Amino acid sequence: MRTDEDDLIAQAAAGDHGAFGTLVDLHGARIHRLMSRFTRDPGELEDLTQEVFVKVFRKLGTFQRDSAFYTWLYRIAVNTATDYLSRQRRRRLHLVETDAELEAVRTHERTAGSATPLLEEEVRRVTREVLGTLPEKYRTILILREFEDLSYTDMASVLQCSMGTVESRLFRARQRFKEALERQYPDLVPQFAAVKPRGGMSPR
Amino acid sequence: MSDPKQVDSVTIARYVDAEMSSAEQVAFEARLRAEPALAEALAEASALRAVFAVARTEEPPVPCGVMRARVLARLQRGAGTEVASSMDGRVERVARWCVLAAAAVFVAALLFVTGVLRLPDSGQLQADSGAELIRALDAQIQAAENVRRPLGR
Repeated sequence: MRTDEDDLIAQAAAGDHGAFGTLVDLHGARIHRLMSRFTRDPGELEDLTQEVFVKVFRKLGTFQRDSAFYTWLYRIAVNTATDYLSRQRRRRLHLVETDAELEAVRTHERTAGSATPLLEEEVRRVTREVLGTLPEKYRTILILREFEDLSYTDMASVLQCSMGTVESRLFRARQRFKEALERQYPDLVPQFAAVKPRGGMSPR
Repeated sequence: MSDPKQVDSVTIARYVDAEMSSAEQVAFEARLRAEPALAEALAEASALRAVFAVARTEEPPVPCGVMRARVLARLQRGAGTEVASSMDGRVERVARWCVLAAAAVFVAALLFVTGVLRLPDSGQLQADSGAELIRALDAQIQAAENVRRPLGR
């Protein structure tokens, strides 16, 4: 069944900037959030998000409709992020916090009164940091699964690989994450084991 | 994937990620009741999942309100830039040739002015040079003849 989105895609592929603008409105926040998992720098985040959409516009003619539009978008976004990471690696920069952000967290640690929010903040910071040390393919699959909540089928479509590859890569990624966490933060691991998300965990 | 531990870990992951069919789920839960080690491994996987569940509660940065306008501006600028860059390329090539030609003329003029490069000013010079050359060749032939004679050839 043809949807409004299909019409917008067709119009945008024909060069209609207005229709493409509507697609940006529909998917912009989601892509922006995905890219925020790869960079914490606000300027680079805006730039990367825009770069994704510029690429999407140029490639719209190649969209085959054999997958959902958003998974195709994710594919372009992940490729853009991968390029960004390799550029960053060349510049010998990490995508985790800037020094200023780290200092802000340290200040918060020194001054915060409540233990629970502090632990949650610590979990977020450490998770970002450990993710930043993983090889790109493991980091990407963890972001897609744990932060973007993509199904295995969608991940296979975004990463253009088989379900078996998704399963084994996700397994290895979690293993590598756990090992890195234990190696880098051995003191925090017991505390993390007791962590419970406030709103409960979905889906189980 | 032949390692039984890895097979189980992948199965646990599929359970934790809600990727199992109802039948698979029932079978897995029956195994969980019978195998404490599997239940322990599940608890470990769930703990890691809980860490990520906390991490994902972080509020993502808010996208700027003018993303659409910026993307469209970038698209238009991109199209303009492509035209401009191809124009720039042509202008640059012509300019480069002009500079090279000017440099060649300047060097030639400099050589001429300093006397390194001299144009023949008369036919007499060429004739004189030719006569000198013939005289030099005659001298060399004569010298060779002088060498052959004492050897008795």
